[in-house]
Amino acid sequence: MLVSTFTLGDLYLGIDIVLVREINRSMECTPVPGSQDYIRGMLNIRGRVITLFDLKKRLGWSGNEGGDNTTVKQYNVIMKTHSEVLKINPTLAESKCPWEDPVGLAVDQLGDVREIVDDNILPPPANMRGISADFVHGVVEFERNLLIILDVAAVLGFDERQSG
Amino acid sequence: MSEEDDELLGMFVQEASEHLETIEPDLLTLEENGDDTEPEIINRLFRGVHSIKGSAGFFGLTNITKLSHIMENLLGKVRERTMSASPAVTDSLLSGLDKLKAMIADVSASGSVDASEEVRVIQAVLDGEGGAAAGPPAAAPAKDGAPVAPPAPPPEPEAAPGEEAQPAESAAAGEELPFDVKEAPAPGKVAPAPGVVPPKAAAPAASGPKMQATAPSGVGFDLAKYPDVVSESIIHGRRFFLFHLDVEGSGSDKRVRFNQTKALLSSVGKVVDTDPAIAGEQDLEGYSGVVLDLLITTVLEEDLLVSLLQTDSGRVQRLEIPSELAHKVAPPKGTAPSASRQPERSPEAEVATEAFVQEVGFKPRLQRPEPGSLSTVVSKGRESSGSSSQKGGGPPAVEETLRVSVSLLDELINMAGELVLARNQLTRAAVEVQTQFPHFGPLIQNLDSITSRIQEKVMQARMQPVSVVFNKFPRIVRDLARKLEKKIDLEIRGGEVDLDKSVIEHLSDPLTHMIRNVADHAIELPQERIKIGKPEAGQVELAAYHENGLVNISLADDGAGIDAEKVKQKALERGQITERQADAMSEEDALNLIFAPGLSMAKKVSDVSGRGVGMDVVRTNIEKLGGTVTVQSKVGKGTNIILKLPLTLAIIPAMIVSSGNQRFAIPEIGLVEIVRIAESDRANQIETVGNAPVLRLRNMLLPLVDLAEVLGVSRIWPPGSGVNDRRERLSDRRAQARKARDAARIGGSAGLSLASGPKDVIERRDDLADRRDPNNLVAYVMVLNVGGNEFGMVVDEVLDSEEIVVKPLPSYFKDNLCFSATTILGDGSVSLIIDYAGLMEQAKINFSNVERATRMDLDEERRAALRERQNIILLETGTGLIMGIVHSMVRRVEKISPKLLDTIGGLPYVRYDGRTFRAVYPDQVMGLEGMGYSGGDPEEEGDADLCMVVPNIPNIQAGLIFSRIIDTRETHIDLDCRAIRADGLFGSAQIDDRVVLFPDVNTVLVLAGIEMPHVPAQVDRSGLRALVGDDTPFLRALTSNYLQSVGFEVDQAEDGHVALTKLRNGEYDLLVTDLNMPGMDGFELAHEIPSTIHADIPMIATTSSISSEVEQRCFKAGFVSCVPAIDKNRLLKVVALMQPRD
Repeated sequence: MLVSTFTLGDLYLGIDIVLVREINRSMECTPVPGSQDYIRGMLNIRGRVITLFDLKKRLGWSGNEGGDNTTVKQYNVIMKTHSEVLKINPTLAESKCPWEDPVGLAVDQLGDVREIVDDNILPPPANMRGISADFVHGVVEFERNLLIILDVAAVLGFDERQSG
Repeated sequence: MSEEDDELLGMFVQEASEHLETIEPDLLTLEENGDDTEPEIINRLFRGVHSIKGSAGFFGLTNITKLSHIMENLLGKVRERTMSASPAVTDSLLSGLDKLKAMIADVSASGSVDASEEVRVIQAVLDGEGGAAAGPPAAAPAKDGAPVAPPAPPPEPEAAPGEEAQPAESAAAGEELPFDVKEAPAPGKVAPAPGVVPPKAAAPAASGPKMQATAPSGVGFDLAKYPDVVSESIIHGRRFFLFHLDVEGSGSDKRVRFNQTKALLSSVGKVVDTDPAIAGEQDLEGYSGVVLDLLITTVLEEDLLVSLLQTDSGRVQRLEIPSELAHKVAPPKGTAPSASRQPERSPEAEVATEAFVQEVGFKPRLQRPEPGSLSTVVSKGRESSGSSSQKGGGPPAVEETLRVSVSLLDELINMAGELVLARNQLTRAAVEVQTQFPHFGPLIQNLDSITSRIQEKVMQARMQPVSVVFNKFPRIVRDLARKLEKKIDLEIRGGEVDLDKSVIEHLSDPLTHMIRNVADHAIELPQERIKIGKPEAGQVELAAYHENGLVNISLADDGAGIDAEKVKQKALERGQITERQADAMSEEDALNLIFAPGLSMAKKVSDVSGRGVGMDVVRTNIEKLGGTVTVQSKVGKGTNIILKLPLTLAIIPAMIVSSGNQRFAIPEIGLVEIVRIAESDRANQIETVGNAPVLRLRNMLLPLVDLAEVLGVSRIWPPGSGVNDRRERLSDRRAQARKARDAARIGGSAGLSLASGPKDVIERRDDLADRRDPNNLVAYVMVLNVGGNEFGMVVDEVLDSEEIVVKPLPSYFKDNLCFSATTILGDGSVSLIIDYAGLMEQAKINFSNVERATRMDLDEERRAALRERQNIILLETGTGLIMGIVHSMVRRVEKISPKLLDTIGGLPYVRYDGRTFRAVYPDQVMGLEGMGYSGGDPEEEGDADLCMVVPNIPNIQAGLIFSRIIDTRETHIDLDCRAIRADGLFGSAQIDDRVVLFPDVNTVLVLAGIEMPHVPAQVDRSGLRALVGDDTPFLRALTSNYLQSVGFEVDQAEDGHVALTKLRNGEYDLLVTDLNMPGMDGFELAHEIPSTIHADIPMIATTSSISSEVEQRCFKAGFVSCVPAIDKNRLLKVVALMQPRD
């Protein structure tokens, strides 16, 4: 599969490109009082209201971890929704893309698009730093780097994920 | 079932539901008009039921097929006029319809639904047809009362069982048919094939086992003999039928019957052949048999054919085209719908027939539907009104419509909204470009108008007529009326009024509740109605109409009405209100109690209503839709409940406010008013009850919620964070007071009424500069109404009023109570829409009885004073007392040197500006010197300048002397009339923790022995009652004093509404009202007067700013005169001039 990659602090992360709708430079967003702290707020992208998750906070980072500070411009990885994925790949939509409302993840830097052979995807090692295994679909070794493939459904708080 | 079938089934359900929708009103019309019902309605009924049956058959939904089939049979009889449309008929059909509805609502479970009872009932009606038959035509098939079950054998009593066919008689075999049959088969093909059992032989045989509708082909005829006809039939989707024509009787009878049949068929098909073959009419007349078999080809389905031929189903047999034959004769172009081979299972054929039937409606004017029309399925027959009282009801207006999914529409709306935003941005950018490209302007303008139109049209696409909901009520009312043994005429108006789909969907339940209530409680029993002189049948009107950009739905009845007293009593019994509340409650408020949860006015609980769940649900539902409910009722006359609904939920008017540096949208529906509070005044307005902040607003305590606090957003200008120079602050304040004063003159009120529009709101933003000063913070209280309870929401700023496009709240925030949805503001940023009810819940405000009681049991005297903010001048007397004088009572304040003071004849005078003024020391006059701290030294007094306040009384030569002006202030005055009493003193109030005395300037002057100029002729008006309307407590008290001084008994009202209420309920001889009042001003009040019992009451206007223009307006409005607010003389003069009515 093709994976869109990005970094978060010193983590090298990837998301199945079929699930990615677009990537923007971060823009001002409207906070939602009373929401979870890892939800940064809502964005308007061409008339769609998109909920933006702060991936760092979602992973439980306090802010300075990874040596990055948040004033640096980030990027928003906007995800496709269930119905959008359904048109492309119904199996994937059912197994990995349960969210119906448009959503995005705030990340630090963008990486390349990588081709990954499914067989190379390994289960997450037990001793990963900076990210809970719950949010990891699998890892792939890449040029001595560990590419962590995110389980977006888990990140967004959908627990009925199925093995895919 | 395959996916495709699922889809088809879905279509079936949708179509069937649409049919059911038209069937019901048509049945009700049939019930009402009986045999006079227009044939078109009966035909429409028949077609509706028929097409349900047809489609259900295709899906193998046997229960639906069975039931609809027998309903169709019964309708067929009615249509043929062989059966009268008696109540029994319509009842049975309606019960069948209900079952059909239930089955279609859950198609998959329809197989397990037991419809046998309905079938039995309809069958019984069918069986009993003999007596009900109204002039059956010759073809009336049933001569006996035997059950005519659909697959019944053809009754042929004459055909002796043993009697064999007489093929020999078809001597004319081989001859060409002489009849007008164009596709006459080739000669020699008519002879019955050997081995084919002639029908007469089949008849007795069939009386045993049921004859199959789709009998094996070739009974009587061999289709293979007519290849041309068969191939043509396949192309056109026609079917073959065998028809046993009853030709009993004389030769001419036979001929007539045969020709009749041919004529009937001429429009929908033709007779291909006969058995025995008949060469000519002579042949026919000479035919000795009683049954002639016809081979018919037609587009009609069996059932339709049966009804067309006015026969029963036993006499018609379907002939399948053998598949090998179909292949052999397949049309050259291969365009034959292959489905024709199995027409029973062919949706296309079904549709073709249906479209066809709709088109020709059985009139002998056959036009083959164009092949293309097969796809143009008529989807929606929109009726303008579903009135049960409508007579006839023409054929449904067929519109060219297209089904479009709601999600596609929503996307379009979304994009239209985006387009508007893009347009706005472009317009802004265009301003710069325009200088270089002059032609740019018109282009933008064009884009602008197109964009607006697109948005408008797209919104319209979501609209549906309310008749969608209304149409079900004739039936409900009918059923209820029966059950309750009442007579009710329901009239429906305005069914064509369009509402957003989302609103329509949620309207059904509340309206049903309301209608049930009307039928159950409001409408009296027929005998009772007659006794009290009402028409026997209760008149109920359900109407929809546009008003003020909202859609009103009104349900009016001429029933018993609601007795407000009884409602109160009931609420009292249930402990929902206290006795004091009940006493103070207006009739309107009492009526509104019917919306309180758990309150049922039904004397006994019936199964129709009375369980006390109802009206509160109605209100909750309507409010969820952003609507309001009001009720008006007159005991004995009737009740009118009005729902006011927004046209759409997709776009709503909202106020954009900010709180803690974030913008939020507040739906304007439910927003009662906006009150601006200056921080410096907060102490006077915001209080704490228990530990909850409340705002004193007019005569109630309003629980307050700070939006920023509830949401947990931080404030941007926390109070008390900065210390400013005191002097600067004071001047600021004065500037602000001036500004506020000006504003007050324009707006008439510090409470900004919504009607004044967004412009005023924006103007208020000028005050922003002041607000940076922490001691001069300004906040706005949005007064919101949730379910009849009002509370105030404190926000920092009111920014704008906008029409916002509502977008659902993402599911990630579903736990959040405070927001109902999101929207995108004009600048493209996302904003949250506040959910009042949720906010209330989050803030844990509850309007318990106790609190409500507190709100209502406010001390009467305080109430009077609460209302208005006053511009007052604070002055200090020589003895250190602080006195306040309302600005409008002061003509001017002069600074005078003590040297100008003189004593003439023991009385102090001031020489000033060439004139002599009598100097009045108010504290001395009122005998209050002792209250002040020991007055300043006389020597000191001699040095400092003094202040002289010249009252605003014409030609007065007197002034009140004070030592200095302390401040001017715009504030509420919480006047206490009891703590300090003195002659000439209105009362006292606390301002800035100091006691301020408010003198009655006029009285003070009188006490000082000053002769008022031009004392009017003394009149005595004792025994008369006057009503004084003024929002300013002072002026109200003042005017009242004046009037009391000439004997009037005076009642007071703090605004136009209160005055109007009092005028409606009490007896008055004179109305003196301020022109400038919040809510309802003097002019509006004058306008309303003619509607009261006081239509000819003399009215005097008082105003602070008199001008010829104002006087003219007053004159036009019907005022006798317009006088300056505090001019006792002018007022009393006018009063003196009026002759008291006897």
